[in-house]
Amino acid sequence: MKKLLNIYKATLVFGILAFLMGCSAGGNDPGIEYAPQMYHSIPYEPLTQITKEGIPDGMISSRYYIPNSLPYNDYNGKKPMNELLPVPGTVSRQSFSDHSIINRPDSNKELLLYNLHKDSIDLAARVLKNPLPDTKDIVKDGQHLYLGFCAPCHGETGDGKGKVGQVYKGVPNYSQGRYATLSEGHIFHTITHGKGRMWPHKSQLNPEERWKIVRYVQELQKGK
Amino acid sequence: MKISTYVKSFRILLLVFILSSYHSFAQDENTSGSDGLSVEAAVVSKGEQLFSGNCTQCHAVHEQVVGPKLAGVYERQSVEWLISFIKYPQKVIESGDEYAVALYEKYKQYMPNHDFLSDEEIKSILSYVKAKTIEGPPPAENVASNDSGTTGGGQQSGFNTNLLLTIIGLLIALLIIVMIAMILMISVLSKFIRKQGDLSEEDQEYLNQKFKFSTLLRSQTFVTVVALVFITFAAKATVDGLFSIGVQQGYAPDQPIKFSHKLHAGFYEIDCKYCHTSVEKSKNANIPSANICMNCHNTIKTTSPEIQKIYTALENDEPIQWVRVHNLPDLSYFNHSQHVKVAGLECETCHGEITEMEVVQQHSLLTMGWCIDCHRKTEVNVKNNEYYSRLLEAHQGNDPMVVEDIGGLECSKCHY
Repeated sequence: MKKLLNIYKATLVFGILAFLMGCSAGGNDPGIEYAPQMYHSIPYEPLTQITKEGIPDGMISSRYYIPNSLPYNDYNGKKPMNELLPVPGTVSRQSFSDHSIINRPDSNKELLLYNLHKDSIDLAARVLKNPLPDTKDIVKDGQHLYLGFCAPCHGETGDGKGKVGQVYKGVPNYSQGRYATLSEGHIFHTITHGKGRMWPHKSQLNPEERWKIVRYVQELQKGK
Repeated sequence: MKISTYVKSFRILLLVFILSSYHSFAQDENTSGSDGLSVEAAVVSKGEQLFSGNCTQCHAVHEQVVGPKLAGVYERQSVEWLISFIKYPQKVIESGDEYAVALYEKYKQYMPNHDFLSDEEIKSILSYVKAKTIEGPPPAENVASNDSGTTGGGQQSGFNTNLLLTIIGLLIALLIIVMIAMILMISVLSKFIRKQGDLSEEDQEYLNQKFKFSTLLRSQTFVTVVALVFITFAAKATVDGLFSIGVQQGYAPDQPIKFSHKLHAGFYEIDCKYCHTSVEKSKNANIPSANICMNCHNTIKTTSPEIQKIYTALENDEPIQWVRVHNLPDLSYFNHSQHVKVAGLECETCHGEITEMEVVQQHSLLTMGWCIDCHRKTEVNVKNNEYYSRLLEAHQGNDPMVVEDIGGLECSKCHY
């Protein structure tokens, strides 16, 4: 009898240990959550993971199950997702920009609201003027953005020898040939809608950021 | 001297000059007549400059880039044809020229007009191409090293681990050899002593004693030691287990597309914000939509099955179902732009060595203790920040201003 009790105790200890070890995360297992109701937002947060697969019945639920979310977000019959599409009929606002910038006295509102068609690159090259002043701060901001968004292909000095550019091919050198003479409007339009092998970057950069990059690219056009 | 002698001697001088300085191209001096392209150094260097300024992004002499490789192009078509094509490619193709149409069929895109180049300039470019063609392609080893440079990127880290394993293996082998040698020595020695025979009883007993495993197992010391070790480990496992509830450190889920941060952010050095565009502008660092992938993958690795998944998603107009790795509880507020833009933190501070991760895993604890620990230690970044630098001036004490001093531990900063 005593022996049996010992075995029982040992099993209990090991059982608890195994159970607790199962709490930690790793690989595909997110681990156990203590209070999923407090961890997951009932309203949609950006990139909230929603899936109806594997909803457990127990008290401790998997992280993806959002208790009580059904009354608010009826995703019945819809695909589980973490990125949501815009509501059907949404009008795109590619000219959207930060209002604090638009309302600044030194900025040209109309140019921050950019609506030229992608085929109008010649018009853009002739007409567009940078609404942002040519100051050190703007160039520095432009450099910061350039290094993040352009340098992978165009290289840190604009020589077209970025690590991605070498594989992607067809990246020009800013400071040579006709590229050194391209106007600011041309550069802005190219960032917005792409040109040749370059694809549009308007979804990654708002007009103000593009104009900042233009200021820095113009520095690179001069060569060093 | 007469003027004619001057001219004569000048001509001879010029000839000598040309012959001596362009010795390497001497062999085609004869052929230069047929296509009318000179390979004089002055012309070639002018051509080289124009070529690197206007052509290199799509063409190379000895390799196909975006457009065809140019080696020997002056033999394929006449110089007049080339000039008209370089100036107005689309016009030549649309005029129905057979060769031009074949080019368009093959490369599926129009070369842009180069009408800003004069005939002379185009000729000098062609001269450069000719000079390079005669020179021949660069040595093969250069090409090979370039190839390995662009396709590799996953080899280096394996080396150290392998070295370490080899060393450990060698040490273990050495240990085993030493043990075998010692056992042999003991047996030989004890045999030798037994042969001698003149041992006291006590010594004999010592020599003949056998190792009894069961006695050891039952001895109180052994049981106590084992019990203590077991209890220690059990307690540690229990505490660890309890603390890991709700902590997802190490969570590394399989993603629908086997995207490698090691390749993209590590080897190709693409900035984090190229894809996670909103990290400096918003509370969230967004997951990129498929159009950002397409900025490169419209041409790169288009046949890979993993890349095909992006195309499928785009065709069906459906977002890719990435699995969320980091999930801060809803009860706490966190803002990426405040930490990345204002504080100037590197992404790696919290997300770990992303550039080394094939599959992203949660690097940090993301517990409240972890947040607070950092807020207690980290000095406020006052650089280029008028507000904070004035604050620093106003509150100048002996200690540096850490996040805690500006309310980084207030409950309601994160919980409201």
